[in-house]
Amino acid sequence: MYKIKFTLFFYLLFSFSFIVKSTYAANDSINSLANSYANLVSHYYNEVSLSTQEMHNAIIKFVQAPDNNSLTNAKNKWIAARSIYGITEAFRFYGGPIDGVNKYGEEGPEGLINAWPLNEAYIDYVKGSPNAGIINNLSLEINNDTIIAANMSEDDADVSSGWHAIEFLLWGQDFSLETAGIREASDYLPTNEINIRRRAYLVATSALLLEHINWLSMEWLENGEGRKAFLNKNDPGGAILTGIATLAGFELSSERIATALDSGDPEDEHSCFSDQTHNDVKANFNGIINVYLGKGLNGESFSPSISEFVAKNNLKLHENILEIINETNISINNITVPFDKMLSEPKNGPGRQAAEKTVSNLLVLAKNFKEAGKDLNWEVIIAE
Amino acid sequence: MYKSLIISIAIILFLTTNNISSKEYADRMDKEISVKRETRESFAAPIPSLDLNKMRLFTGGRHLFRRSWTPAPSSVKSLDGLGPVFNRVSCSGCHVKDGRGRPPKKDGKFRSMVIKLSRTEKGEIYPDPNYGYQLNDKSILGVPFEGKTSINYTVVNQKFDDGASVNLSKPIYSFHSLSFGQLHEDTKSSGRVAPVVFGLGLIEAIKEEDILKNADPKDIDKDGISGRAHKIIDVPSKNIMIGKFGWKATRASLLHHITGAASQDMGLTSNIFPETNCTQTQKACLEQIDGGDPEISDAQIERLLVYMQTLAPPRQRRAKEENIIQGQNLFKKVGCENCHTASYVTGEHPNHPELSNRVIKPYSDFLLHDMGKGLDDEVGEGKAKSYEWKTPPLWGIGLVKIVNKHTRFLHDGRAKSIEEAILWHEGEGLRAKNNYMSLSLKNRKKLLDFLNSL
Repeated sequence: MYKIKFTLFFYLLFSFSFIVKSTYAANDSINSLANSYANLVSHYYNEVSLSTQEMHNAIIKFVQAPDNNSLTNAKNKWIAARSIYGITEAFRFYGGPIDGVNKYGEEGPEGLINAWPLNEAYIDYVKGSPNAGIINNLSLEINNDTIIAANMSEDDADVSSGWHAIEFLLWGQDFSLETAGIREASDYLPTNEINIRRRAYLVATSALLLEHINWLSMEWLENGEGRKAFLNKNDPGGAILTGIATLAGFELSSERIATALDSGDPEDEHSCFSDQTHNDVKANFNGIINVYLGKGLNGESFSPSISEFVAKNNLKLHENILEIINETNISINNITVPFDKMLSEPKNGPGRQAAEKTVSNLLVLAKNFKEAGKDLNWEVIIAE
Repeated sequence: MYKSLIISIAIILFLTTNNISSKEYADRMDKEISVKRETRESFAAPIPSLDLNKMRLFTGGRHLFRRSWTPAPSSVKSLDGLGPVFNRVSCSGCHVKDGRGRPPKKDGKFRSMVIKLSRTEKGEIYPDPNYGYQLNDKSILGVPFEGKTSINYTVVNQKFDDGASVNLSKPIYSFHSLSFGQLHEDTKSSGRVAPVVFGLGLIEAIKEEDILKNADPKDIDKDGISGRAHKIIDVPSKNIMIGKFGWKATRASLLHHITGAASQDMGLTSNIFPETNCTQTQKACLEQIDGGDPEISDAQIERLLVYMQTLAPPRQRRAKEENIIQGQNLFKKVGCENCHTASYVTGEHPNHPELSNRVIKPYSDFLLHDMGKGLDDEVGEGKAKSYEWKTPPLWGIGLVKIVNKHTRFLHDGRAKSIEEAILWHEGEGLRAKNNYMSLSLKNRKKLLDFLNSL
């Protein structure tokens, strides 16, 4: 009897020490994954912060001397900054600083940064409604408080701030499949009260965007609150995968591409004023790849990355993921530019088919990420 | 020998862990169909188990839910046909962030609330001859809108047993700028705020027998609570079914619910409701060009339907905190749960297996109850009397202040807090209300904390 107990005791001791040991090892590498991911996020927000500052400077220059050149310059800076911002959308969907609630009960700025669709008549004049919007409503003072309070206050499409608000203010409505919106620089000459209000609105909403992006950048710095909260997560691997799986399987594939394909309206695209939707798609997709592979904007490496974990655990799955990434890259490059022109193609048009292929590829990719999470015992919830 | 010991240890371990998890399972909403977060997007997520191949329909529906409709003819053919008379131009105009509407703010503008009209003659309910069952306060160019509403509130004071008191507000409606003359002398009016729109597919999947189990129309058990199912004709299927949706449980299927709202609130015709939403006196309204036949297509309806069916309800937060657990016990003890039935296991959902056989916690019996004089605004609907209201589900009630940035409750948003909503309970809810009023301040707070955790 003693002997039995003794053997059992050793057996249990042995198995426990084994469990403890392997958990320690796993924790160690999970911690380094969480750290390298936090460094990657910080790197990208820093880059967006710099490029958004450049956009803001260009917008101030434009307002100081509104002409075609200064307008084009501001637009180009918007395009440049946005193409980096799109990458950072891979950091959404798991309750991080961008869209979660922090310990002070403050909600992340996503809704103020990137809300869409945008009912443009809520901000300024549109074709057929020359006196529409906050800019033409003289009872409202143009300042940050007005813009923040107005954002989606009465309707989800009543967007007053963020990338698409600035986009509309720079480009104006787009009625053509050949060009983007063509707002005149003269809209910003200080010749009447409405123009003066429009100038103030553009500068204020650009400053607000910069402020929010700088805040995100600070959150992920070495001692930032957002980084600390992320590093304290029980399942950082699950969070990282949830971000890219949701961007692939929900936001990018369905919300941004498929919904536009199904809507039957060519201007029902993400960046409809600037005709930059194809770049939005590429930037989001780059976000997915770069997080998966741990890659920085200029090829810097952030190791260990998710891909190293997946490959170690299930090489075949990792190879499948690389293959589908490759195929998606091809299908994205085959989407007709600009996006609205693609949307106006007949159902079997080559650009539309490439877009359809992109949607199905992204869904496969999302399923693979979910699979990878299951393998690694990380919880991946798409679109919560 | 020790093989059997290990096996028995394994069995004991298995039984204990299994026991804990099944208890937890019964007590909590299924994680596969609910979400837990405290942001403005708390009501906007799809159920986590949604088949990825349906995501496209879900996001397509969401997009449509947020898009503004325009008057016909317009360059965007798929989205024209608004009105001629309507209340809002988009679904999300009233159901902001898939959440709850409210009465007008200081500017008096109706953004997420409508006014229902009806008159009762010899027990039968009729529409107003000129304005129908709902006042449309907006219209497209060239067509008169029906009229505008103003709200004044009268104060009703209520005292707790411990001496504290609360001033409740009761709305009184008056009408102006009426385009077709005064309302019929017997027409009565009732304000209705937009209800939350998540979890509806799960409610749709609740078995009728589970609802009927709680009904006691003759109050045979003499607990002062009767509760009857509102049997209605489901317009799309033409079947007689139990109404589960709407403030008076007038809709049994979401297809009926969605197409009805498109018609009444936005003036959109569909294959279910093909007639334009104008009464015979409204000539200009009847003569307008329509935006296609029908204006909202079956494909669009399908997307909206999937969206509505698969929006996930929020899961309770802070469920393990002591004050919340005590509040939950008080909720039961006071008698709230006699009508606000906590949980169900859903039946089979015809379209989405993801919604079938799930543990859900809506806190409603989906039955009509006599709520007494205070909430009787003399407007009946279907077979529901003016004093009868469906027990509204309570899930997500504590998140309204985060999602919609207000705390206006009840059908017309008259209650300025959850507590005020409790204090309006009379009729079958009187006993529970009186029990609540007799609680100490500390216990009232615990009960409210519990409600705010839902």
